[in-house]
This record gives sequence, C-alpha cells and structure tokens, in this order.
Amino acid sequence: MDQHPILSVSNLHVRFNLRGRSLHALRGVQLDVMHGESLAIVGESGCGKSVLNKNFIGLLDPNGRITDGSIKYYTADKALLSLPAAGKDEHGDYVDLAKFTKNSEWLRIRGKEICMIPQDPMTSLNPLKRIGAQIGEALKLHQGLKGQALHDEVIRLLGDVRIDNPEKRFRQYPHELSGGMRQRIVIAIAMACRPKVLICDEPTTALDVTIQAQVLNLLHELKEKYGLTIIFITHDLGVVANIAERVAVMYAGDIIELGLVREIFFDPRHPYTWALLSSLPQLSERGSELFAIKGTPPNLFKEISGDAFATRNPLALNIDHQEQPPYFEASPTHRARTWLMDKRAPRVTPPRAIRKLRELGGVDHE
Amino acid sequence: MSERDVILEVRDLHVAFGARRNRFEAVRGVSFDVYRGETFGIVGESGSGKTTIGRAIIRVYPASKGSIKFKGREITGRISKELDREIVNKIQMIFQDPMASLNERAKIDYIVSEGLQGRGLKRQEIAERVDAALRAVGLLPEFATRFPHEFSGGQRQRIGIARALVMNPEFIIADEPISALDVSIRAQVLNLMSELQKERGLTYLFISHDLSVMRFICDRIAVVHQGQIVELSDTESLFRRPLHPYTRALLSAIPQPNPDVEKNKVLEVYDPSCHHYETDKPVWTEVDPGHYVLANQEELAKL
Repeated sequence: MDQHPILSVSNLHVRFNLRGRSLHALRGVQLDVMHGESLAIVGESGCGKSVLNKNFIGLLDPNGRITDGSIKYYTADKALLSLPAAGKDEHGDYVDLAKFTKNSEWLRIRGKEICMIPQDPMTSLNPLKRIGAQIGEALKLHQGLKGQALHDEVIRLLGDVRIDNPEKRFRQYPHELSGGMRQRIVIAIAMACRPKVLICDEPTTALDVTIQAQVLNLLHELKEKYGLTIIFITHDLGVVANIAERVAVMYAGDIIELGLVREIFFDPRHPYTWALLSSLPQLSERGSELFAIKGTPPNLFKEISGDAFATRNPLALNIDHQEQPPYFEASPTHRARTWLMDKRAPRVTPPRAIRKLRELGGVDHE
Repeated sequence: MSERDVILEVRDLHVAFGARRNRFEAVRGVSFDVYRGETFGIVGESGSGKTTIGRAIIRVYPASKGSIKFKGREITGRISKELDREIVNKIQMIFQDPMASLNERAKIDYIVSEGLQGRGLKRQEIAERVDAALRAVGLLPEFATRFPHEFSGGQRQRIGIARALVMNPEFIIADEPISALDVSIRAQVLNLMSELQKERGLTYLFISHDLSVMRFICDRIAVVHQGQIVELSDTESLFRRPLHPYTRALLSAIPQPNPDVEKNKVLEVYDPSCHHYETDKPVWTEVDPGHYVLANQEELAKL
C-alpha cells in the first residue's frame, strides 16, 4: 500500500444550531485516509460518522458549520489547485475542503473526486426513470458521452457490478429489481463518475445477509480493479472484518481508536471498542446474557469533560472523568484515546470475548 | 421431546395471494410445531415467505389451505367471536421497524393501551396495566404522556414490546425485531426479550434473516426457501451439521468478526438447479433425531 494520504482531516470541529442551542457534533477529529486503502468508520448512531463524511462532499445540513480545523484533499488536478482554498505541504498539493464556500467549488469535487453511496437503495433511485437513463445521466455529466458510446458504457458498467442480462436491465425501472440489484445500480452510478474516493454509508444495512456478503465482495473487486480509496461507514463490526484494511472507531464525535483491522479485532485497547466487540452475538455463548452497553451516548449539547465514554464504562478510572486522554500509541499504526494505556494506569483485564479474540489472533498481550 | 407441550401446530399451511392467473403461493405447504416456552426461529431471505407465515398465524392473511392449531384449537378460517378475542389476547406481535410501527400522533399511553380499549375495562385498570407493561420493559411510567418522536430507536422498540406485553400474551411473533437497530442496542433488546421469556414463560416465534442472532436466541430453527421449509433442527445441530445446501449458503454469509477468516472466506451460493427433483421427488426426512431436511433419495444417500 502506498503511504500517501489522499484525505487528511485535522482537528475538525463541527457544530449544529438546533433550536437556539449549539450541538458539538465533531470534537476535533484527526484522521488520515491513505491512497488506495479501505478504511472503515465504526460507531453507534449519532456518534458523528455520517456527519464526518458529509463534510467530504459538502453536504452538511444547512444548520451545521465547520468551526475549526481543515480537510485537505491531495490532488494533482490543475483546476482544483487554482481555487483559493489550494495549498501545499510535505505530502503535496492540496485543496482545503473546509474552506469551500460556494456550490460551484463543490461541483468539482462531488462525484468526480469523492462520491458517496447512500444507505438505502430503496429510496435513492428515481422511481420514474429507467435504470439505463439514471446511470447514463452521470456519464453524460462527467464524461460527456453520447448516443451509442453512452449506451455501451452503461452496459459495461452494469457488467462491472455483476448484473446479468444488462441489455434487459437497461430498460427496466427500479421497482422491477430486488434490493441487492438496486444497490448494485447505485454502485454503478457512483462508478460512472470515476471517483477516486468512494464513501459507502452503511451500504448493506438494509440488505439480507446473503446479499450483503455479495455486495461486499463486489466493492472489494471494484477497489482492486480501479484502485479506489474506500471509506466504509457502519455500526456493525462484524461486517468490517471482511472489507476494511484499517478501522476507526468513533464515539461522541471523536475517533477513540484507530488501527489496522487485525489490531482492532485481536488487540483492541479502548473499553468502548471492547464493548462493541463484546456485544456481537457471534462471539457470545448461547444461553448466556448478551453483553450490552449500559446507558446512552452523552448529550453533545453539553461540553464533555474527560473521556466521553467514562459515564458508561464500568472500568472507568477517576481521571477519565476529569481530563480527556491523549492518543497513546500501541504500535506505529495503532492508537487509542484511553487512560488505560498510560504507564500509571492499573492493569485491567478485558472482557471474556476480547480475550477469546486475542487467542484467535494469536496476540500475546504483554 | 414428544411429551413436551405443543402450543402451536401448523400443518400443510398454504398462503396464496391474487386469483386465477395472478395467483401466487407465498407459502407452499409448511408444517411445524412450536413447544411452550421455547424460541422457535424462522430464517430465510427476503421474499422467502417467512413473514407471511407469521402473519398467517396471527390471522392477518387467511390461509388458503392447511390448518393452524393454537393450544389444540383450530384458528384458521371462520372461528367464533370468543376464540377470536382470546387469540387477540394470547398471540401478539413485535414489528421490525420501531420508527414506523408507532403512531406518531398518539401518546405512548394510548399506543400501549390500544389493545385494551373497548372491552369494558375500567380506566384505572387500563392505566395500571400500561404502567406495569412499561416497567416490565425497563421504561419509566412517566414516559406514558410523551410522544414516540421523543424516544431513541431502542426505547421505541421497548415500547413496541410493552404494547405486546400489555395483553398478557402467551405467544409472541417477533418479526425481525432487531434488524433496524444498532448493534449495541440489539444486545439490550435481545436480553430484554429473553428475560421476559424466563419471567413469564413466553413462547417466541422469531423471524429473521440473520443466523448469527438466531444462533444466540433460538432453541430450534426452520430454514425457509421460497415458501417451503427445507431444513428444521435444534440450533446446535443445525450449526454443527447443516444438511441442505441453502442452509450452508446462509451460514457461509454470516460475517465473522475475524479478519483472518474473512479475508479467505469462500462464499457459498445456493443454486436451486443443483437438485434433480424431476423423477426423484424430495421428501421430508428425519436424518438425526429432531433434525429434518427436505431432500430426495439421491441426496440422502450422500449425507
């Protein structure tokens, strides 16, 4: 994997105005997305994973705004680099997406550079237009194709996303297709834009387990074929093991743990990651009680002091309630925001499911 | 096993939609027993007819053929008013999407008590039962005066469960009760369901497409494909020794929280044309005690 970032988020703060109050949705997110990798962002609903990604394509709701931080998108595109938001640092030329103000600027990014697959394939296609026309629309706009060339390219894309009998599908309407098929169409539309970064926002939650596995395989193939960078948003850690090379775990608007997929599964460090993994039924014993995280996520209208997870964490230390932990490095690729990794912290035995995972991965802890 | 108390008996159930040329049989001859106090799972892909089976039991869809007996009494077709009322009490349903299954314009109080209205109960009595049901699912009684939009997904699903419990049911049909929930909330709802089962001796019919959850909660599982049960077994032996190729395909699709395994996973895809049923018809066979599979002689010989 080549180690240049394509997107670099630093100290990103996003606030929403809601009924006269201010909600701190992202609290200083720090994240590099590497060129050609697949990164999974995992967290409960409301943790800010979708908000983070909406920043990348300028689709933040109108009551939201970036109050601090930068989102650098590294590119060689002359047109992008002539924008006022352009700059240069040790990784190369970039545009700062956090400084974009006009829709015309976003039009150069959206689709062509960064593209998003929305969650629900049932509602994201236009029910009144044929499949062929919906894919063709993106091709016309982004590649200027017409007539026979347009038709051929649509057929090729349908084959790309493993839809059999493309000539027939070309003339069909979305309601004639199943959920898995529609999600493939949505992926085909995204691929028609020839993006460099593909954001998949829970692309499989609305689908059956068998179809989910097939869609994940498809995304994997496309990534290899086109050298895509994939950002994969989900709440289900079970899905992540298949697709991701790196995993970022988000909680209350911040990334609390980040590491290679083997590090997150076999040697997780943050108690929240432990809790997420423990609540998977795949790892639990039949007949026993399933591990459930107590309480609810913190209220982001209030400022959070200390570790955001502390109030729900039975293992919380005193300092967790007072001071926000910095990132501690477990390895050069693995960092976590938890005081448990401090030298002064007591040794804590992780839950049973985690010890089981460590055994599976053959990780000998200390 | 035979001395166990059968609470629900389904025999050769057919459910058809449409008429004449548009007739479509969603359920084609399904038979199974559910024992009192167990969790019986029905697993299948969307369109397999698993929800239709559940709805036929609760009498939303009429059965076109076959019989369903609840505690020994026939409940399909025309039934007396008293029996109908009893079934409404004893069989309840929990729905998939807690965002869509609660009336946005009604207060929790009304949503939970709706089934009790109009049967001559005193207002005081209704209020007490709503109160008790809300407590049973871990919600505070003062929530009764709020509206559904004030609750999170997990809390809404609890309200859905309270609505079923208020009728004092014996049999609950849970149609994908956790598919629309976050993983962490799922655990809470599943725990609540098994707690209530222990306390009240409830019987669940658990409908889902996700075998990883079913392995955790179900005692026995029926695998449904295109309106037919292709395999039925207790959970342990279904996972240890899946016999039908469709079951194997479903099992192989379960995402494992283990990157080493996932990266090398080979997905099994079920292709119905692998069967040769033209002359050698499939029969419902008990392979191991309590483990049934739909297969023909040729396939049984290979098992």
